[in-house]
Amino acid sequence: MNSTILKMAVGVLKPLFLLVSLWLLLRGHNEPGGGFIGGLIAGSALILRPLAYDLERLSEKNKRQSRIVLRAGMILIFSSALLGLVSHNTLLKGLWLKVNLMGTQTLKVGTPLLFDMGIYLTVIGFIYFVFISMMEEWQWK
Amino acid sequence: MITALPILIPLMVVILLLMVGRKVYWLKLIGISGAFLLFLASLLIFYTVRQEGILVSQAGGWPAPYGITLVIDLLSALMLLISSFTAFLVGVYALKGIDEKRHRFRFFLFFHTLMMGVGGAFIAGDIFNMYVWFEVMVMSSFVLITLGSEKQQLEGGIKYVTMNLMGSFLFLAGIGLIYGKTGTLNLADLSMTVRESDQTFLMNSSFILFFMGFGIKAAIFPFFFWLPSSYHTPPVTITALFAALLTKVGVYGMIRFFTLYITDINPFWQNLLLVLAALTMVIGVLTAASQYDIRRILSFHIISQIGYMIMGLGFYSAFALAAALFFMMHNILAKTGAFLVGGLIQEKTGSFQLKSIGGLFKEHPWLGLFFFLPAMALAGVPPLSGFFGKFFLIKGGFEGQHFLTTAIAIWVSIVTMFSMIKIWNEAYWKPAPKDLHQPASHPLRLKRTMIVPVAVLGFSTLLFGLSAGWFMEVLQEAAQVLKQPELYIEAVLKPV
Repeated sequence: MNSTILKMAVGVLKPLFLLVSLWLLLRGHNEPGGGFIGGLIAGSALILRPLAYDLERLSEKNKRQSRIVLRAGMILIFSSALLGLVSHNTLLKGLWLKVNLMGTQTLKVGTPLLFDMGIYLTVIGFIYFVFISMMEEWQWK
Repeated sequence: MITALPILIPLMVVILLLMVGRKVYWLKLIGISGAFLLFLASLLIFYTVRQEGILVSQAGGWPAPYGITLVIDLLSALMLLISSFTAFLVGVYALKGIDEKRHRFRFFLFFHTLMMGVGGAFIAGDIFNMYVWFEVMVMSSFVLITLGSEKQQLEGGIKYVTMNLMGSFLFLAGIGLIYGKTGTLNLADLSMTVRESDQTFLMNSSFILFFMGFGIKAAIFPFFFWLPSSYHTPPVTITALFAALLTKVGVYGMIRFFTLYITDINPFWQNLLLVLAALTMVIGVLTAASQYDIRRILSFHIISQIGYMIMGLGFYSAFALAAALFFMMHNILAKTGAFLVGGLIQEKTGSFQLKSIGGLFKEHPWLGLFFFLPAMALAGVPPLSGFFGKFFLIKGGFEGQHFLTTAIAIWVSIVTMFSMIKIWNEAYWKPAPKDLHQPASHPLRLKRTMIVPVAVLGFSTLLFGLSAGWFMEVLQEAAQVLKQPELYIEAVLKPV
């Protein structure tokens, strides 16, 4: 694809997409958002630049990277499910850690966030992997 | 703790398989030990359920009607046990029965996602959760059916996935309706709601959609055609795995839903079940009789035997339910065994076509024995398991005074015998055809890891038949639990 508009826009869109995806990931516990949507947006941010510029330079190395991200995500999901099982004998039990910020505010970090992050990474890895595989098919033709 | 194992073990194995890359040795080692671990876990679950009754676990600690519940009663435990046992044996066969290329493309990964879907469907206590596990199962079986990307496989795979997605859509539509009407999707909570109010209004419209969804998965009469057009395309190991698991999950869903929601079965549902069961049996067995490819004969027989299970559900007495469960377990063992022997025959002669093989009995008498056991079990020869399965079903039918359906079942059984004897005559007794040369490339000696699972399956049908009394007692216990949904409801909804 050779689109000047896309090439110009990539530089702005990519960081914007990534920021929005992180924002969605973090607000997802109680409000619309979460790991899946965040992951989709982050994944599309990652494929923007190859789509606009250098399809040819996608290689086996990128594929390996995407697999690593995917695995890391699955391990996070699995461990968040397992933590509750080990400590409270209940699968996927939410465990919360309260962190004191400067004395006044408390930040609650818990296994649901871990789970969401796992989904986030899995979706990113998956999208990237599928994208590269499909682009390989295109290059053969 | 142990309630979640049927999901967690395959998930763990899948992650491990992703870690090792494409090293075939490690893929095989992890895959097969994972399958064995799953079998051990199922044994443990079965033992615990026998000791303590229904196991319930609330995911995330949220109490029952709100959270996702995992429930294992005796039926689920038995299904987990038999499916993981058969899957382990198929896994052993697959070590050599699946070629290196397919192993490199992670056969065992999809094998375990399939097991995760199957296990999840057996233990889900929530309709939507069950739907999700069905999807996991359909997706991984779609990958398995097209693994290797041969033209024929892709064609079969498309047919397979289209029909199964249709089934899922109908199922999902039913879920939407029932959620709109009752506001709950928890199996036990829903059962309580339905029993407390006007049953026909709340349940029937959704239930017919559920029935069609499960019917497509189980391949009963009007919806069966995806099965024979896709099951003969992948390698026979994969077909054996599908024959053992996929359709039976559909039957399981039907048994679960009928016993929970149609508690006083009315003539409409009973007649529907019995008529469809009879048609499924007859059409399956007649089309099988006209085939000459071993895999196709066996595929059509899957359909005909699903008919028997539905018939047992249609009789709806506790005894007939237990008989249907007995028949299902027997069928899983015998059908998988027969498919795997078909694989051995193909390995030996290079063909599944009965016309182009022959004389196997003279060359390999033991191969004959391993085929004889599951085939005659399917046909229903005593003392093998199929005889007792059919005997119990027919007894249940006579007790419920359903003479016509029972008579059809007996007749179908005779035609099944004909088909099995046809394979036996053509493949084993007929002299090998002169004009067809056996391909020299095929190994003369079969691998031991391929023979042992076949032998174990063959002898387990024998053992299953010989210990039919004990199994029938356990199954009647399971059927008693099924006939009293209040036990299930109480176990799920009791405060934590």
